[in-house]
Amino acid sequence: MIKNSTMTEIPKSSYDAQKKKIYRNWIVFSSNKISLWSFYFLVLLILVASFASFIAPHDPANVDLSLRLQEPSSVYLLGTDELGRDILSRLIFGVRTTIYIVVLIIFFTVPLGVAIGIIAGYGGKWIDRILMRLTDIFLALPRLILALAFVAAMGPGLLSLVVAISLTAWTSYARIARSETILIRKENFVKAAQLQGAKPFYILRHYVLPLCLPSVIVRLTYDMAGVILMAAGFGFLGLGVQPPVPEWGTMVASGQPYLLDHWWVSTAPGFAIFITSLALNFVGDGLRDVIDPRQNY
Amino acid sequence: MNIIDLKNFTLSIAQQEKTNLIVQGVSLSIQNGEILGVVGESGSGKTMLMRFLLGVMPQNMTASFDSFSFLGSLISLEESKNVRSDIAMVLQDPKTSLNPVLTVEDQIKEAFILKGDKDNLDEKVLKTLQEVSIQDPLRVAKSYPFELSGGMGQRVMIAMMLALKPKLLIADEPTSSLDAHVQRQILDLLRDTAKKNGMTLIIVSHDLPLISAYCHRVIVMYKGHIVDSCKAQDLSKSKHPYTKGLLRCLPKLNDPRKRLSILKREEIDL
Amino acid sequence: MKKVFSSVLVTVLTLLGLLVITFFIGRKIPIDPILSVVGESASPEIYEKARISMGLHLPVYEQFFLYLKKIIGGDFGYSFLTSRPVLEDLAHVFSATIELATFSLIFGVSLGIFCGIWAAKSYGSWVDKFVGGVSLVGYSIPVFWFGLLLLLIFYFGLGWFPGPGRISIYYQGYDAKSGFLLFESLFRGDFDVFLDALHHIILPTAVLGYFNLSYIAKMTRSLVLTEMRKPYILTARVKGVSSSKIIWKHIIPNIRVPLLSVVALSYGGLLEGTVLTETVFSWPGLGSYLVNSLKNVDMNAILGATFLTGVVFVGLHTLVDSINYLIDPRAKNDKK
Repeated sequence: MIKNSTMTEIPKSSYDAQKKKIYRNWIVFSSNKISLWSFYFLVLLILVASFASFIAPHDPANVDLSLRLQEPSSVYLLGTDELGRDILSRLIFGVRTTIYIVVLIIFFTVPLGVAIGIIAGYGGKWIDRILMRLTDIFLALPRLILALAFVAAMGPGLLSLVVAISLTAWTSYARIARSETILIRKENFVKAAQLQGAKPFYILRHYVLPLCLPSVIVRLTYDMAGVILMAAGFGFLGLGVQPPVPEWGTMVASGQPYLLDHWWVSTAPGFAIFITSLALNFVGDGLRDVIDPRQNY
Repeated sequence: MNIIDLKNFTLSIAQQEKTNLIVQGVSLSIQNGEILGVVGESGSGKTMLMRFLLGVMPQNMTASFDSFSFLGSLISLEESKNVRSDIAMVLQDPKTSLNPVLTVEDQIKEAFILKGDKDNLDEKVLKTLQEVSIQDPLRVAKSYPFELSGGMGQRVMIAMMLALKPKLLIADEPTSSLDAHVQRQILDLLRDTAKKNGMTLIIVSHDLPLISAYCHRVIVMYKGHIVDSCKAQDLSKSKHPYTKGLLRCLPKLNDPRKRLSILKREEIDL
Repeated sequence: MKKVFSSVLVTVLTLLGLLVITFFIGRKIPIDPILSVVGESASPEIYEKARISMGLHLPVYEQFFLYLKKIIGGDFGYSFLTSRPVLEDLAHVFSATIELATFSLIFGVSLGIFCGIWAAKSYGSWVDKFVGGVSLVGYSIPVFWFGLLLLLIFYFGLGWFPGPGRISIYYQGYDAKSGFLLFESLFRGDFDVFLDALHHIILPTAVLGYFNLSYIAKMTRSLVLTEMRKPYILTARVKGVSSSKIIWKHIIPNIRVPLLSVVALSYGGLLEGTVLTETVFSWPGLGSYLVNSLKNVDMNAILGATFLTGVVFVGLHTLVDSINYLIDPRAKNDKK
């Protein structure tokens, strides 16, 4: 009740207004229970990754062939893999790998994509055309397969995986940033700033960029769900992060020959990939409803 | 005889734990053959009221009324959710209110077929187009909506609705997207067609001078209520503050003022 | 005309871009290409001779033109795994993938469009949420894992479907000249082969088809909902058009074009999906070929398969642009 009365007061400063806005958005977001719980799940994942060494019941790299392919038991909650390692612990440490990949890809793709999009949207007909043709060319190419070829040539590993995926992943942000910029550019407050003598860079940095970000963030969330699947795919094909670093996709592949009698070796990591991607998709839906519910059709 | 008799009609929509009243306690009687004008700003509820009469309300809205009769027969709450035959509507912009990928001919034929009329459709289409003063009906019939001008498009809309032989025709902002000189033509067409076919006509608009020129009676809506109701010629003599406010806001050639007045909504007492 | 020219330009540029990328990837192989030809113990003179004969002494752009010429001539080099020209290998495996991808497309599109329309019609109801949920799962599930799961349940577990492979060992020698097993066996009346092949294609089709269905359902729903809110639909309702007629006579014709584009582009997604699915089902198609080449770093084969897929992708995009141009009556207006 106290919060309600605070909400209706006129904000005292722009910082205050921003806080209120974030609070309001949070209320809308949390009304979607599924998104909310997915968000909590993702937070949990981050915590698991940070405290993996404390949470994991066993050492994920502990090879013990006498314990190989054991069924899930009270000691090894998800069983052991073909080298006798505890699957649960490997899953827990695998969260770290997943998070590294996701963060690195965000780092490589979002600034580049958004920059290209904003410049294309604001810079006039020719720059727009050239940049958009470039983006179209990248969009028309088979992402996964090119990335696979790239990793094969560069040698598998975390960095080549990240670079390979990033090569084509920036395009979605460029497109969004561009269409948002084109809309924002026409707004009266932008024209007012221009009349006051604001330089283009200033306008892009303070007006256009913050207004593009919400849509970019929604897209980002969905894209990361896809990136997790793609990275797992690379792992499955043996082209991802190399052993002994635990990675969920690689874990699924290692269980494939034993599918018939020891199905948990592949099932557990695959399920982890699935729910993480699912959680990201749900959070994306929730964010989309906060930012622009009309996008739900 | 009253073609429409509606008592105490309320329409609400549930939005994020709040209930928004779109139309509140409206009672309306429309006489057979009259031309009624409905005036109001966006958000006054006028469009939703019309959609209720037509039976095409969105599903997330809840309606309630004491009684509702159309053409003398009572209509229940359940029945009011179905499309009412014998009422038709002409919408604002023909470029978006006509199906973009069907020809004019196909769309008008569809109207005839829905009324059970399946013979000689080609001729009937041409005849209807001629009735709305289209000079070159053959060419227009074969055209797509985007190929028609605004005025032509509205005529096509009217022709199409006429094919349904309605007893009541609602025109929702029929001239808002048209040029000034075309506006008069379309309104004349509406008025004459209504007279010729014995139709009752409702014109919804925010354009006061237009309404008073073409309608017999005018009702003024504000925030879901009918705040004023009078004969069209008495509109300028109305005592209600909202109506007076609306009239004051109109720029007049013969009474130039330094500043246009603004509607002071706080003064309006519902 | 401007539109045609610019889309041709983009197509050509994309193909060129693809070639540049494959060229540069090809140069970055971890093994020295000259060594792989002359062997580790070759003398410096032989090494130098080989280098010149392979054109590696030329400046980069000249090498690229040589590469361009080779590709246009259909020379993708030899696969060291199969010792055959890559082009020949590709021709061999491509049809198996096309068969699988096309089947999955038919499955995904027919169910997907139906579900999408159904969800849109019942917007906000449990049907809508259910279809949305099914779609979302399809988006989030790793394709290869789903394949393994289905194999586990329906082959190992229930025994309803045969195991991996395109046909059982019994029919392995069946010679389908076109490479399209299903069609040829049906066409030639060899029903036992046909049924066996059909039985084998069901599980992989279910995997890829579900993947496809999720995307198509979501896009269809989105298109239908946007259209439903437009004024001309209100006009149709006022006329008294029934709701099923509204969908089929008014909405669908208006979304034909974007829907076709979505379907065509989803085919590209299916082709990429085969890379991860074929290995699970031992399906002898392009995906398995590529995976094998990747594992063994058979660069010629990798690049050949990459280029082929890229060409198909570009072809799909061009197809989409042509559809947009030809079918929409509003686009035709520009021609006048």
